[in-house]
Amino acid sequence: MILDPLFDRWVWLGFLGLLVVFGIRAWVVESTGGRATRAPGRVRLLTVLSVGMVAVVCGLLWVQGGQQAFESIVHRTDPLTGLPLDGPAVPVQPAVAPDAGAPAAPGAAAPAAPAVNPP
Amino acid sequence: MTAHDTRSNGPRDLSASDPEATQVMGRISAGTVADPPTTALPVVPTPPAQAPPEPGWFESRRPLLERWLSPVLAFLALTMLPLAVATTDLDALDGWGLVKVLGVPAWLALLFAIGACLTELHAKRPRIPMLGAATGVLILCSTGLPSVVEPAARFGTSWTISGFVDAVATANGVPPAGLDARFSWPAFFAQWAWFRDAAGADQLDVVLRWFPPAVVTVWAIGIYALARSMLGGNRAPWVAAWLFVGLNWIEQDYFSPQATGICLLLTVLTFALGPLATRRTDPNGVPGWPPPHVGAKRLPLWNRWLVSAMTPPNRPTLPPKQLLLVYFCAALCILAVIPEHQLTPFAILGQLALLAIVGRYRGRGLVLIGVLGVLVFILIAARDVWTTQISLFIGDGNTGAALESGVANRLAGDTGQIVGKYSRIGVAGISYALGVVGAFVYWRRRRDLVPIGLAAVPTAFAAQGYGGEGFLRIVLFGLPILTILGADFLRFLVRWRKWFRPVLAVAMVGLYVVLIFIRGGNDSYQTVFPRDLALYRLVVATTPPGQSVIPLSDAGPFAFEGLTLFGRGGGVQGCGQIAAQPDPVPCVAAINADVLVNYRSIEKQGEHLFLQKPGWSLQLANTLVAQGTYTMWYQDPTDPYDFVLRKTGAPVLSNAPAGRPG
Repeated sequence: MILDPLFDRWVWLGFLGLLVVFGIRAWVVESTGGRATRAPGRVRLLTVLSVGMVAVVCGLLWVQGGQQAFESIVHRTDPLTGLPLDGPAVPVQPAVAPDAGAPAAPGAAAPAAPAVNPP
Repeated sequence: MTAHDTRSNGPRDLSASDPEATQVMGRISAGTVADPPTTALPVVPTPPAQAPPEPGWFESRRPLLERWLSPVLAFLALTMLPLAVATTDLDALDGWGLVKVLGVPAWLALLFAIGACLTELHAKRPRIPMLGAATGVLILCSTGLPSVVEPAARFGTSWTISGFVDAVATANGVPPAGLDARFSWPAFFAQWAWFRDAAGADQLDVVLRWFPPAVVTVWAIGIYALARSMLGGNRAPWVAAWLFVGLNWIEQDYFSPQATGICLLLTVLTFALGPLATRRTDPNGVPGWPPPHVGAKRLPLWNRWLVSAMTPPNRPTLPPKQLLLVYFCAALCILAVIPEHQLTPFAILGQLALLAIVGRYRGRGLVLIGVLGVLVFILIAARDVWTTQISLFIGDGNTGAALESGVANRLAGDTGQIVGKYSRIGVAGISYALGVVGAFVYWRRRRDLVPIGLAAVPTAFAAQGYGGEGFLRIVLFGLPILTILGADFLRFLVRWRKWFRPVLAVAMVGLYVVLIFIRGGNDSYQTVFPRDLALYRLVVATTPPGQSVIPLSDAGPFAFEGLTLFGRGGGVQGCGQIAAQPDPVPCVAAINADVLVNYRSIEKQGEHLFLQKPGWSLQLANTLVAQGTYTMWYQDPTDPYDFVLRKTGAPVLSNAPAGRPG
């Protein structure tokens, strides 16, 4: 997957916006005082806005490499090549159909039987 | 009733003259019916007042001693330090390290410093400024002792990091790409590059030398502040700070990003457990919900946990503006540490998340800010690292191999080295044992097990791929809380039995002696001399850019200048350190460097850690010169082990002063 580095600026801007919204919400919450009463409307609005900003930043991160990193971590694969991390260091060569007339190598396993109902 | 009541005309008796007699039984005449006995008590004459015993010599002079003894001891400790420099023979360093070559004045300085701390702690009213000053002297005489007695900063790694700063400074603040993964967390390098430029300096030699005692002082202040919040009292927080300094053998306090990271970690923890701390209480301040009716059946445990979790934490008592300022500073610290060090943000966020779950501080949004900040930084700014070295983050899942590389493989070297390394394991075990016992004491006193959870959070690092160093970080990140809990245990001991006080004083002396032994255990190959620095600067000045310059091992100062100018070799399988090879000649041929650099520290490392024969590096140089592949380009006239070999025929810049050509 090729990521566009120019799109990174939107992630940074989104995170900056998140910090600003969190800061404003903290200011309003702490300045309001009184925890026994129900949260004022502007606090609830800022809470919704904060959740929205978190969602926006998470979405941007997912697009800008998050998905790639997540799949690499879950499947333990290399993010660029997609090859398994725990596998052999050298990529496995694609199997070549054996020459029909060539003799089998000594000790080679017998070819698998064809599937009865191939998908 | 006044003191002299003249209204009474009744019969007077002896007791009337006794001011202590307040109730007198009346006389009973014969033949009358006796009244039931009253409850009046018989008059007991007071014993004659005894003169107070004559105060002893100590008691009579106690105010004077409490005022002056601690400052005098601290002053004596400081006066011993120049003598310690003069009586320490660094040329005699061997596998036992610094402890074997320190002169008597160095040990006296340590004793005086400990005495200054303990006498002030023992005073009836300990003075905070004096305790602070005594703690500073203690740090200088223990952790800072190598900075005092050695002429330059120890540790090749700290010089390499200085080279990173130099690379950022010479590139006008832009970290070089593709050179080292640590450049992807460039905040520390950029910070010091800015300091360096602002100060008009071109090197940080003095900063590197005095960085460890300075940064440990900042750490000790953090421990003190944290312990003030957790333990309270006037004395226990200071004991926690001294215990932390005494148990901090890990030596991550050199000029490095993690040293600054620990400062920020302690700041955030102090905020969370201090001004932002909350308890889950009802409006009256009682923890948990009001108790059930008398005789009512107790709720099940899960029910109590659920109720506790659903109870909103109360507000700290700070005014809103101060609270907002603390939020801002805490968020700033978290955001500052993210581009500075790889592991510290995870330690901070893990501990903050635990505190948030149990509702111990107000401002749980800090965890969210930190988590998103880490994700944004790693996914965007450190993209080159995770796309090419994803195993650095997720590990290889083999904790046993990490344990082997982190602990077992390090148990190498001569007898002094082995004893020192087992001592490190022992002191780490003592730290955890003290913490666990302290957690039990803390739990008995406050019914709180969260602190030991904070100390356990860093153990999660064992699962990632940071390598053997990860275990050092586990101990380091857990040590602040472990020592605070340990101080609670020590306080319990001295309150339980008074005779523990002298025992613990002696134990403190023993702990600090062990600390100097452990921290200085590798000094035979970690000590850096000014001639080493001059030699490498000469190499930088005379070597054309593009040539590969490598040392025979990683001990000693290297790459602190010209990091981006020269190749650093490497990449040859099995030849990571030439000094560690039984036969180094094939590795030298395989690496094929243009310039080989050697110091006395590398010679000593080969001798004491890799068990090479004494003089192995000179023998290697002679072999290479005899083969004709290299020429001895420079050899320090005062130290034959400081030499430079150049490949035969390799060009040398002629505009710089050359040493003694071979």
